[in-house]
Amino acid sequence: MWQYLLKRLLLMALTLFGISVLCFLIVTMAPGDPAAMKAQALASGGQSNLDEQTLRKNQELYYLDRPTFVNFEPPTRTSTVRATLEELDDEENEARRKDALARLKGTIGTSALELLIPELGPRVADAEAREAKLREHLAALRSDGAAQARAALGEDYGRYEPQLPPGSDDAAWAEAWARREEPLQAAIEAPARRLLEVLAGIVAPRGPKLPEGVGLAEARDAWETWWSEHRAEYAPEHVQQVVKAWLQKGGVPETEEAAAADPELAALVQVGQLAAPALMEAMHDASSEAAERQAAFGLAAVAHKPWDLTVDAKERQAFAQEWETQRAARIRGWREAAEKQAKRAAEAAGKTYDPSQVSYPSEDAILAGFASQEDFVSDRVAETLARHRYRWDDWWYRAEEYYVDFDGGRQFTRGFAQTQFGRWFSRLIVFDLGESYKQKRPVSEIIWDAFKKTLQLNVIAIFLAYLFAIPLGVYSSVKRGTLGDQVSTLTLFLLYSVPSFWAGAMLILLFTGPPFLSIFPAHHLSDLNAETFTAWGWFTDRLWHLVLPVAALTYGQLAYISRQMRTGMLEVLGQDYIRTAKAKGLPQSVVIGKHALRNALIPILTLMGGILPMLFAGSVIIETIFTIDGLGKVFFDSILSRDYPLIMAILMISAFLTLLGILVSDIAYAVVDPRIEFR
Amino acid sequence: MSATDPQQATTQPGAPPIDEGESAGAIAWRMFRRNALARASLVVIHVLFGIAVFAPLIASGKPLFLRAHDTSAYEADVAAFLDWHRRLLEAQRALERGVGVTQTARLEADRARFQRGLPEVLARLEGHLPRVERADFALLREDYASLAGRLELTQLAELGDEIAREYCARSALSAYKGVAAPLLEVGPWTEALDDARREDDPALLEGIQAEGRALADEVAQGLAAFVRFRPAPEQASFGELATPLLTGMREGGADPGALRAHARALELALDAAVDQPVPGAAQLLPPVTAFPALRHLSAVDVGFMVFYVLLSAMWIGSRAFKGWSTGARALALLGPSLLAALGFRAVFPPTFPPGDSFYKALAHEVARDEAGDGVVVFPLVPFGENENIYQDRHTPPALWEGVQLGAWESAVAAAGERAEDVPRPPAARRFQEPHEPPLTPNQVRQRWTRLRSHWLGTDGNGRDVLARLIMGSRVSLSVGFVSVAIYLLIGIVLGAISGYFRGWVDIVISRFTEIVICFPRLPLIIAVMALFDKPSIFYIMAIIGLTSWTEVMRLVRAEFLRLGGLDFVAAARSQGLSSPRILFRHLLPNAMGPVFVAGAFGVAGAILVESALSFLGFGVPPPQASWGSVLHDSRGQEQVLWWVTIFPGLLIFVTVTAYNLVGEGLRDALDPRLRQ
Repeated sequence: MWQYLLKRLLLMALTLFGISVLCFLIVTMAPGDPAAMKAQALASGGQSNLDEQTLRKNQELYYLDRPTFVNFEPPTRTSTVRATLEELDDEENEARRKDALARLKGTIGTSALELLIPELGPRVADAEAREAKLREHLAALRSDGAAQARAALGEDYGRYEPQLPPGSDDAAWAEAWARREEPLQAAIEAPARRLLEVLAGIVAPRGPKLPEGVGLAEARDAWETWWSEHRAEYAPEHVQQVVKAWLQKGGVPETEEAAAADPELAALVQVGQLAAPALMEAMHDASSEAAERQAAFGLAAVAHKPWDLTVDAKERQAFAQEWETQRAARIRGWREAAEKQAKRAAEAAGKTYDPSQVSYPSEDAILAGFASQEDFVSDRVAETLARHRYRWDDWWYRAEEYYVDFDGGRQFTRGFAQTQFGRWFSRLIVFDLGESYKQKRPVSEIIWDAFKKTLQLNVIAIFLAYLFAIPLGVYSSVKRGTLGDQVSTLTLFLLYSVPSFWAGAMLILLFTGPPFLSIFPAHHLSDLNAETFTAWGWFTDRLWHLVLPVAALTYGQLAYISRQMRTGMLEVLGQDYIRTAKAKGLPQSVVIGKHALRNALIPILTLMGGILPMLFAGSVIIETIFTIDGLGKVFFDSILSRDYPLIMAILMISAFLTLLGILVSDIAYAVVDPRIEFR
Repeated sequence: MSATDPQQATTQPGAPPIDEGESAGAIAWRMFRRNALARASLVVIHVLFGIAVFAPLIASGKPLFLRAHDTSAYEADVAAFLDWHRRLLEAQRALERGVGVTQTARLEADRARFQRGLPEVLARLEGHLPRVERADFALLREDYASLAGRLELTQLAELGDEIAREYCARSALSAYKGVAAPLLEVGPWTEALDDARREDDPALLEGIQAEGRALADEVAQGLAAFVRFRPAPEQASFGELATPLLTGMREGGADPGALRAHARALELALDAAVDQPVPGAAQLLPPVTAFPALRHLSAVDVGFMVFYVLLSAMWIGSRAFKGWSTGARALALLGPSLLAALGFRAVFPPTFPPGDSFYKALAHEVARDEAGDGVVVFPLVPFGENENIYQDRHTPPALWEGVQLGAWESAVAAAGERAEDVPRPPAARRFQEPHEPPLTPNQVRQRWTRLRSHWLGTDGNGRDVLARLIMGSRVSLSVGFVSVAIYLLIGIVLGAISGYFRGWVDIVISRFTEIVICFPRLPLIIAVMALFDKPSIFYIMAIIGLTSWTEVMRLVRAEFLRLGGLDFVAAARSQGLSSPRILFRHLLPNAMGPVFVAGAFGVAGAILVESALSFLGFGVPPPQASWGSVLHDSRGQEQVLWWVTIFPGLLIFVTVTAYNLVGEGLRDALDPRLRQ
């Protein structure tokens, strides 16, 4: 049996993987550019005109700039720096150039120094060569080879070519080109100058002091000397030392002044992004919260990120403030509700409303169950820390490639990890479902809130369905062929064919207002003021709201289960052992209740596994009709707003639940029924 | 399952028990026919399909048959002729006077255009005339064309006037222009008369009086043309109005102020009369005969109609076709259908039909013209799928509206003096035109004709619910049929492959099936549908088909696994038959029983899914109707539009029940254990 279980579980893992691939495919195969659509969905809250930069940020955020399934060239530190340098030289697109500059200076930082310094020489040499050629051509313009030189200039510097009327003489051309000498020189020097700017930015405020407008060759020499002097400070051994010193320091500076005066921190910042991998590792391996915090603080300083795993006094105060506001709002809400109730009561009694007669609930009653300030703040602190940790992990998944050159094995796994599917799946296996585009809340939180309501509805529905279906099925099978059986069978058959959305609409039509009965509320699970009700009042109100949706969910299942029950029962009743039991002279009640029913119940109970997904499908319709914020409604809304993380998560979860249902019912079947053999 | 093969209907209920030559299919069919409920359901489904196929002839805003005098086209052509004639003369006169260079070019272009176009307009005008007048008119027309070509101005103007007087008079507007223009001159003329009298210049007075006589003649002539086709009392009343004016103008001694008053009175009477079409004038025009509803069918519609009729004939008279082979039957069904469709398209190329409201207005006109012999025959439900009559929105079903009207009538009768205070039903508001005194119950009854009463009411946009349901049945029924066909195909192929070849193939296909099974169907379909920018019925069919095949695959696989071990397969293998042959000729026919059952239930399921999708707003794109989308239109106002909530759901329920009953019947018939 254990072998069977193990086999099933292994197969289940395989199926789950297949499910996630399929689920991912369904959503990514959406027609239209998914990046633009996702960005549009993201932006539809605020701005709707997307520029290239926003699009790119969103692409990076959701890994849409990566291949779908296999990344044949997962980026490493070297390739990233090279790619960014190329972007830096993009003459056409200034925004892209600025973006690359910021990335090199701020994000990649000292990690790129080693690769950038050697770039300087060739760039300066190239600029010198081009400048010499330019001068040559400019000189030639006034001589015999003017036409040739003009052609060469036009080819090299087409963008700067002067527009002269046809038939202008050589002197005019020479004059015109000469006027362009300054911008031409700037264009020639630009790549080298940009690199210098990057270098200065990375090591600021250190680096060689260069006067304004210094020549390229001088600057190169200055930087090369500086590098030969300071190279050791960026060597791995030194970096390790600095990191070690920081980590062993014990305690982080509490104020900004203290941080500015902290020598270890200053050393760490000087080393810069080179320290990031070591700090990240330290954070993951940290044995205590203090050590983790130490590493995170350092990492925040070198990577310029605000997630330092510390909650300072100011933030605590903000949390306290928030608690005050919530508390005040709650008190005000309850008092307003009491006033409204008094007003209604006065209206009903035909008296005039007297504000002084309102009996307000006491503050204790209002605040019963409301968290104390300390609890609230500590909850918020814990939440903040958890969010910081999450952000670090999320960041590192992509940022690692800025700081590390991976070896072959890592590159191979990264070929699968650094893809859209890889990122999604790597989050999925740690049950991280991402954040909703629309609501800006973790998907898991939204789903859990909604799931509670759906579960409430469905548990009651399943319970009621079984409660009525089993006796009905038994009755009509025992009384097979009688009028009662025929009536109940036909009724159930018809009931089974009633579309659930129509049933819901008809229930609303018939029971929620004129011109027909007006007994039940048509929408939501609770009254709007339900918070202020007494426990008993809340409970009855909830029950009242549940009646219609539960009825709409139950009738179909009831019909289905009782039909199955009848068939199963009939089959059992035809068995030899029932005849034997009857022949033994056992009373009818024992034959039916003990011998037949128990055997007929087995397949019925295992139906439950299959009912779960059916109920989810039903919830989509019923919850939408009755405006209940359950899983079905959330799914419906997420589809309307194209909230992809939410859609994917709900599809995944429902598929997973179905799979689980099938497994559980199979195992339960095998456990309950000794006639089944394990294969 | 209306298309269930009639070939199997070779035995009748109550026939002697199974003889040796009876095929499995024939036995199943005989068993199926014993089940009265299932048989009735099959008939219900067949009728529903009939309604769907003939929907454009049952519910349409376009009449089936139409014979009417097309006054509006005549008026339009008359107006075009008069306008062009005037502008041609103007252009020519301006050119003769001489104008600037650019203007000359423009005027010449105009003149050339009118010269070319006028004969055509005149030919159209001739088409409207009664046959007896056409010969004379044709002569005039030729004269006019030749004169227009040569631009003999004076003659052309005279000829044009003659055409306008003689042949355009049936147009109320042109006749009105004929009398209104000289009548307008009367005012200035009386002022001139006043001045002349004051100045006491006999010569001038004489001239003015001569002018007055000429003007009086013009007015008399125009008026004669205007009243020519009007009934005698109207002619007499116009005569009475005009006599003092005309005699006054001719005699010359009249008081100018009184003349002005007379002219004004005549003008007012003319204004009132011109809004009414010339009564009886329409009959003088030849009537137009048309079949708009038939004309605007599509070729596919026609093909399906023929197919449906033939199929019904084959089913009802199955004895007559007893000896026919399957191929011959298929040919007899498909051949004529295809020919009809292609032929229809060849004879009637597609056109843009006028809107449904045009035919409603025409029918209204015909009904008002009591003396006329115009006929407009609308289909049973005289409303189009998307014909929204704004005043009719929120109309309850006709029966209920009748009850409301009856209650109102009796309440008004009981109230007596205080009838004004009785609250008016919605129906009274519906027929109330603006600027009209409140309607009495009798008036409402009169206006409550077939063209304005809705059997199942209307939705919030004033669209007839019954018409939408009938047109929507095409979507709902075809989605059920086509999507099940798609998934049966996928399921059978995958199931057959994995059941026959087993081993690795089986493992891979079964794993994949298990993965697809795990997704709840409706949410999956909603998610996929939502990703399409432009939903359409074909996507719905395809997606339901692509997501629902798992059950069929498992059924077929199980059957193949079971049959694979049987002797007849081994025998077939030992004969050296190829795999495809064993698969399709030996195994598949034996495995089809459960597939048919699943298919029947599947159609019910697919109809439910499509309705649910449309109900939630992910189904057919908005103006198109399907049962679910009609129900969707009542969302949020279930109580206000209770009829829109009840009827579509009822229809879905009946259809789904019918399919489920057929499925049950098939299962019982195919299950040998249940056979007695």
